[in-house]
Amino acid sequence: MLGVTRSRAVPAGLGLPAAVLLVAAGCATYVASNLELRSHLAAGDWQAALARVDARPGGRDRLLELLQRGHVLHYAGRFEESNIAFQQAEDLAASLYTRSISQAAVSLIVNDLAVDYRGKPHELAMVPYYRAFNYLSLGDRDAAQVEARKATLALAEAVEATLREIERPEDREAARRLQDSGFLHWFSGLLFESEGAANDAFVAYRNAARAYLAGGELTGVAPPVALGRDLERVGLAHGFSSEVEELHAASPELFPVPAATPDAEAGGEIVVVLESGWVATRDQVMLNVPILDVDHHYGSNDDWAWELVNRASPGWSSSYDVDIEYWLTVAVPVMAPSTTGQVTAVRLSADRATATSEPSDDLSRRAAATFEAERGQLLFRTFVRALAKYAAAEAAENEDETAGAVVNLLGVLTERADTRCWLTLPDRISVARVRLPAGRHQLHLEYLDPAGATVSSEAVEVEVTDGGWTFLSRRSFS
Amino acid sequence: MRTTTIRPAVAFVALAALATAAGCTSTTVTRVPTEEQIDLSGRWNDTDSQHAAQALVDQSMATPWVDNFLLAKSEKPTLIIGTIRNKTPEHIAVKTLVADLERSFINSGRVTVVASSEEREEIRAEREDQQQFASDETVKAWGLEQGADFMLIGEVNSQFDAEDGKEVKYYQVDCYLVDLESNVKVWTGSTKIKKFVGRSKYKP
Repeated sequence: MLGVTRSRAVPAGLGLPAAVLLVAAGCATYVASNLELRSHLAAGDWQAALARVDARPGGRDRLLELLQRGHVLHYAGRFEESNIAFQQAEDLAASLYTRSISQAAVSLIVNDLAVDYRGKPHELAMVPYYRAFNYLSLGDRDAAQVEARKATLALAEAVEATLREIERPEDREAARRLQDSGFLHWFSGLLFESEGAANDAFVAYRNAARAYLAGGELTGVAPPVALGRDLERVGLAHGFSSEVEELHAASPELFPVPAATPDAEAGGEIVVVLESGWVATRDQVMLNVPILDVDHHYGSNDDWAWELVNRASPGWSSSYDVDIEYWLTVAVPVMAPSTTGQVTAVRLSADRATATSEPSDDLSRRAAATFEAERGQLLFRTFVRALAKYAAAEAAENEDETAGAVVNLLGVLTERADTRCWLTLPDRISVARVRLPAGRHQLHLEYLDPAGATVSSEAVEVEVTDGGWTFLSRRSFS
Repeated sequence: MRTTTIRPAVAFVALAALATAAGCTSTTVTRVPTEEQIDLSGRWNDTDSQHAAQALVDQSMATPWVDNFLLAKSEKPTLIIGTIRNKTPEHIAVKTLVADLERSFINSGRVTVVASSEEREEIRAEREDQQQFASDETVKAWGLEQGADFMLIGEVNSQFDAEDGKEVKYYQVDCYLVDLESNVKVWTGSTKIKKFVGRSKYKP
């Protein structure tokens, strides 16, 4: 039977005021203290959102500041400024490849917030996507093509950087599964095709198909029907018939509907990308993990910390005849549920053509998968830090009980989970496609809830040319 | 009971001081000669643009197409620099490359370079303005523009390979000189730039 032998007690006269101070100092997590940013965006108040971003400048969160600044400016229609902020973010993310030893050392004493935020793969991969839309809005289609080429490279580089942080083979394997994105390949392919680069487009569509098939379990997103049509249209028209046949044979699920006839391919293509909801964030929970009387045999704190990682995992139970010497209290991040939002799809209609969007990516699932891959290493660092604090408090207490209590208190005060993330990203992305004959059209967009009921609608004028492509992006914050 | 010699307060203060010192930055600006080669990020930069342009023009001038034209027409060939397409995943200032190519061709003294289509629009607008406001002695006539014999077109491609903080960047600039009357390619040139970008894994 487990028995609690003792719990480190802080003298009441010292501990209580300090605990009050802790609350007064505002120990809210990054997410909790920045949620207002979402409210401003939902209200369409770009100025307030920018002011909110600027209110917490620089420091270890500089990358997040730049990403969120670029994102707010994108929605505000200030595309050039958005690109500048995103470029700065990309430059900073590249420079953060070089780790700061001093920051790492401080983080071993304080918490992970002492280290520069480097961005998660699903976050950094979205920068070229937003920049591509910025350039399309500015009429610079060549620059949008550059972003299309960057998109999948950015994701692979970000995953590579994440792998540096992870030791356990099973966690590294989980991280590698994040290395591809069907949506980004598909989006790149659409941009390539829009500029007549058929070869590049077909390769991108093929990579998208592979990524969707391989990553379906991770993201919960099946290959979009429209992607199959893109593969057939471009493949059959530009000499990739054998590749298309191979794909048909190997993955018939890519082609649920027959290929369109050439007549049906006349006119121009409208592409609407809908972003909806809010990406899942990380929350902080306090975890109590027992130090057992049998724990003193570990050769190093690293071995001990890995054992504590196991001990903190669901399903762990101690053997009998051990006593708990101490409860280590640590702050660890956990994934919060995503905010799906009221709108989940968009239906396009113009003349007699209609089309409803298909799910294309789930950033919340990607965020959760990233967290799962990082979780072991993250807990390991947390326990290495907790053991160092524990040892320091023990050493101090051996000299003086009050000193021990103060050191223990310092440890508690500095214990915070790293919940930093790009807060303004959407939960899900879906894509709607429709072909319209050449000419001017009123395009109706109906925003639908999960049951298919119309939540809101709008009409936009589009000028369609034969072989032309029109890209529109929409964001539902509600 | 586990014992240790860590003095937490001392260690904490020392580490905090180290972190603070590492975070101290100041901005310094130094003027440098424009020909000085400075590589910061490893991306395509002004030095690459100048090297590529000079290499291509040197290649072009070393081939017989200019002499062939001179023999046939008894005059210098006239060039227009067309579009150099950027097919890399980097934002390359293609206009800088075009300007470098133009300058190198003009400075070679063996060809005549005429204004690009974008520049011509501005010049024609000025000429139109002259028709109304310039004196008869100075007004420039319509229909006397010099037509180009050849157009230079091209593209920049790249291949990047990265692993463990090391990156190899390979750029290839391909250019073609096309006879504007016959569509015959009279010259093709290519220049390559390879860079190794190494990043430190750690800093203080």
